[in-house]
Amino acid sequence: MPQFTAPSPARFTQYSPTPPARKNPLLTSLERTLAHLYENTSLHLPQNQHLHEIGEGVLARAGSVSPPFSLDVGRSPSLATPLSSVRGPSTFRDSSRETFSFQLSRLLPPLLSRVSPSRAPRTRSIDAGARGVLPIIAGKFGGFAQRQKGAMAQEAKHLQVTLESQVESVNLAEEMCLRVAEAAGFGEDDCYRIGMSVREGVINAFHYGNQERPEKKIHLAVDLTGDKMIIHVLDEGSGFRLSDVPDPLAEENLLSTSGRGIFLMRAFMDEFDVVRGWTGGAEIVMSKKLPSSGPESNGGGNSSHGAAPRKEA
Amino acid sequence: MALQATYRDVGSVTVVDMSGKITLGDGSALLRKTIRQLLDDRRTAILLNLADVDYIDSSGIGELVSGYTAVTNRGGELKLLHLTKKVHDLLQITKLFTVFEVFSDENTAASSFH
Repeated sequence: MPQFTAPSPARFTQYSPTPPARKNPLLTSLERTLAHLYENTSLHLPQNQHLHEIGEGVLARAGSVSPPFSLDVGRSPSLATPLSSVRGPSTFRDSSRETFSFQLSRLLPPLLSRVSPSRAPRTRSIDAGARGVLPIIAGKFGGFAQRQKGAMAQEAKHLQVTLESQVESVNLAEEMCLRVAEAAGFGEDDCYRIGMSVREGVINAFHYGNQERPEKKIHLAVDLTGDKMIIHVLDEGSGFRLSDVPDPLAEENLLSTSGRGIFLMRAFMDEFDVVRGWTGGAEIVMSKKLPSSGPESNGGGNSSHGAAPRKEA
Repeated sequence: MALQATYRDVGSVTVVDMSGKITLGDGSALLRKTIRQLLDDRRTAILLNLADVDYIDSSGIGELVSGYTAVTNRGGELKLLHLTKKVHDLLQITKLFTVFEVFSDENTAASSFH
C-alpha cells in the first residue's frame, strides 16, 4: 500500500521574504529552503501563511513539530530534479499515480534536527474563515494558460482542500474552482459550467454522501494537467452507484424536487464518473478540456483522472 | 448576491419579483417561504418574475418544482416570467419547460391565468 503524509488543506502559494529586522540565520536558511521547494515543487502547507511565519512557527514550536506540513510533488517530470536532490529516506512513492509525498522534516535534517518531532502531523479543515486562501489561488494558477501555450513540457498543478459539511462549503468550493478555471483560461460559459458542476458535486457530498453530518468531511481536489482540468469531490458516506440514480428526465421524475445534480454535472463536464474513494464514500471525478487543447487531446475515457484526494496519515 | 423577493398585485395575479441567486441555503429557503406565505394568504395565481435571477442550482430547481406542486395542489397556478439565458437553458436541459408555463411579457402572462 502506498503511504502518504498528511495532506495539507490549503496550498501555500505566496512567498513573503522575512522582514529585514529578523536576523536568525536558522530562520533565514529555513525560509530560503522553503522558498526553493515552493518555487520548484508543489509545496503543501497547512494554512495561508507567509514563509517567515511558517519558519517562525517551526522554530517557536520546537519540540512539538512533526512537522505540520508536507511536500507533495506532482506528476510533472520537471519536478523530478528538485525531488531527487532533496528527498530523504522517508520518501514514499505511489506508483499508481506517480506522485511523491514525503515529510519535510526528513528533507531538511540540517535545519530541523534541532526540532524534535513529538506528535503526528495535523491537518486542518478549511472553513469559512479559510477564505483567505482564495485571493492567492489565482496567483498560484495564474498564467497557467499562457505558460501552457508556450511550454514544451507542460506543468501539472494540484490543489486540494478538506471542507466541512456545511452549506458554506458549497459556495467556497465553487469560488475556488472558478478562480482556477479562470486562471486556466476558460471562458465565461465554461467557468459557469465548471462552477455549477463543482457546486453540484459538493452539494451531493454534503447532503447525500455525508448526510449533513458535521463530523464528516468533503475532500476536494483540482488538477490542471496539460490538457484538462480535473475535479475530484470525495465524501465520507457509503458511496453509491451511478446506475442507481433515477433519470430526472423520465416522465415520472419531472416533478421530483431532487435528483438533478448528477445530471447537471454530466451535462456540463466533458468526462464524469463516480468511483469508490479511500474513505469508502463516493468520489466524483469530472474533467473539462482546457480551451487551448485540441479535440483529440482530451485523453478519452476515464483513464486520466489526475491525483485524487489523498489519504491522511 | 442573496436572493430578494417582493410581490405586487396585477389584477388577481400576484407577481413575485425576485433578484439574486436561488441556490442551496438561504435562496431556496426564501423561495419556499415566499410561496408558502402567498398560499397562506390564499394567493394561488402566482407569477415568478425571474428577470434578475441569473443563477439557479439543482436545489433552486427543486424548490421551483416544489412550489409549482404546492400551488397546483391548492388548485392554483404558478408560472414563470422573464427568464435569463442561464435559467432558460437550465429549464430546457432538465425538460422543465414541459412543466412550467414561461412568458416574456408580463401582461400576457397575467392574462393567461384562469
